[in-house]
Amino acid sequence: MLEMTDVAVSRDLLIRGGNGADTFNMTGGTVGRNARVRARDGDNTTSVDGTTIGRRLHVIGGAGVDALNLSNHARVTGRVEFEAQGGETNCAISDVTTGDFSLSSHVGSADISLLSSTFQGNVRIGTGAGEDRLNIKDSMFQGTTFISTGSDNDTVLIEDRLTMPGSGGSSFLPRPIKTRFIGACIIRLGTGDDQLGVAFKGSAGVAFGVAKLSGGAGSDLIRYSSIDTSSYSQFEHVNVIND
Amino acid sequence: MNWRRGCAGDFPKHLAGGFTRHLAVSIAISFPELFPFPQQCVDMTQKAMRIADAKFAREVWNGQSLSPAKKGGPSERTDRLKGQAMIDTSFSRDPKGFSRNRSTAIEPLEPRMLMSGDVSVGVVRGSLVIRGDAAANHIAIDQTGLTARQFRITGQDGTKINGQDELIISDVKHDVRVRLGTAATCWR
Repeated sequence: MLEMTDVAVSRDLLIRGGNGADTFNMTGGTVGRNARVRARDGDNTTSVDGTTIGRRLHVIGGAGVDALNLSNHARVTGRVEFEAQGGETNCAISDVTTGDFSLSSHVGSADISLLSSTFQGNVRIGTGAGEDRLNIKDSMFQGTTFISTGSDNDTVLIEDRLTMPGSGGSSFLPRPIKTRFIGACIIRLGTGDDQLGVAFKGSAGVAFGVAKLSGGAGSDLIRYSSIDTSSYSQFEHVNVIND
Repeated sequence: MNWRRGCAGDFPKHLAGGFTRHLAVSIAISFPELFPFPQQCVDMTQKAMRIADAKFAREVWNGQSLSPAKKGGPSERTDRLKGQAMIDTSFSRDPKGFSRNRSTAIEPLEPRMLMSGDVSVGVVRGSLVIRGDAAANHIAIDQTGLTARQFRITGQDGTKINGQDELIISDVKHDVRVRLGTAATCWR
């Protein structure tokens, strides 16, 4: 376990874990250029809390559970890359500002939450096989957003609490828009019985620029309400509930 | 070509055997897949290496070493032997230099000087280098009350830092590099 508290690194921070369970915690402080964590095998957790990184944060996991937590006004000027390998993947990003963001996981379930954050560049999330869950709330996506959940039964929620159709609040009440996709947003749910919920009943609204939502093979469901699609939206291979 | 004689000819006679033993064991340990020695054999050679290292250290302290890198005062290798720098930085770019051959031969053997649960810390070319061992290390780093180029490394849960509970490192100008759980390998 490595804990760094209010440490100022002039250039690069390079961390390489062993094959056991490794935990890296960075609280506050700055990294002048790149921060790279190569966690290797085992159950690994990397946490960045309020740290400012001048260029890029690159986290590479290994076999086993890999977790990345960014929170508390952490800022990455360049890009955040999280390459989880086989096994379970957890990624929690809350109250963070970054440029590009990319996440890739392979076999194994992925649980990803993007909350109250600003993504100034492009976002690319690929979760591969496994039952994946992506939760987005109160965030700004200024570039292109591409989400692919791969095979198995996946769930993507954008300002949605996954209440059953017919329950929850009224869709007629005006609701503030909290999540905005300024660039194009492409979501591909892949094979399997997937669900995509967007601002459905009682949740905050979502604004899309260009939205292309594809369910892929399987029995998929997209349900939405209170969507502001300023230019264009397209739904493919899905049962759509618009309430 | 008699390879052993060719190498030994560059060294003082009383050190030649130690050097070739250093080199052979270094290669064997660096590439274990090429030399699948039994564990007992490896343990014996490591013990022999420690004896050779101790002999070399005594010679350095006594000023008997003939290495060009040590003429005119203590070298960084000497500092390493004092425990102040954990990685030798006295690499000579002179292809004919004695210290070049000597450095590449000895370098991989350093982690075996460490006890389990002991993290080695040093400054290499302006970068803070922290290297854990095979035990479950718990390390905390902070700069509270220190200058921008100083780092405090504290061992937690019984982890030692260069054999101590806490260590303050100075002259860190560049990177911070941490490698945990790989005692048999070195930072390059």
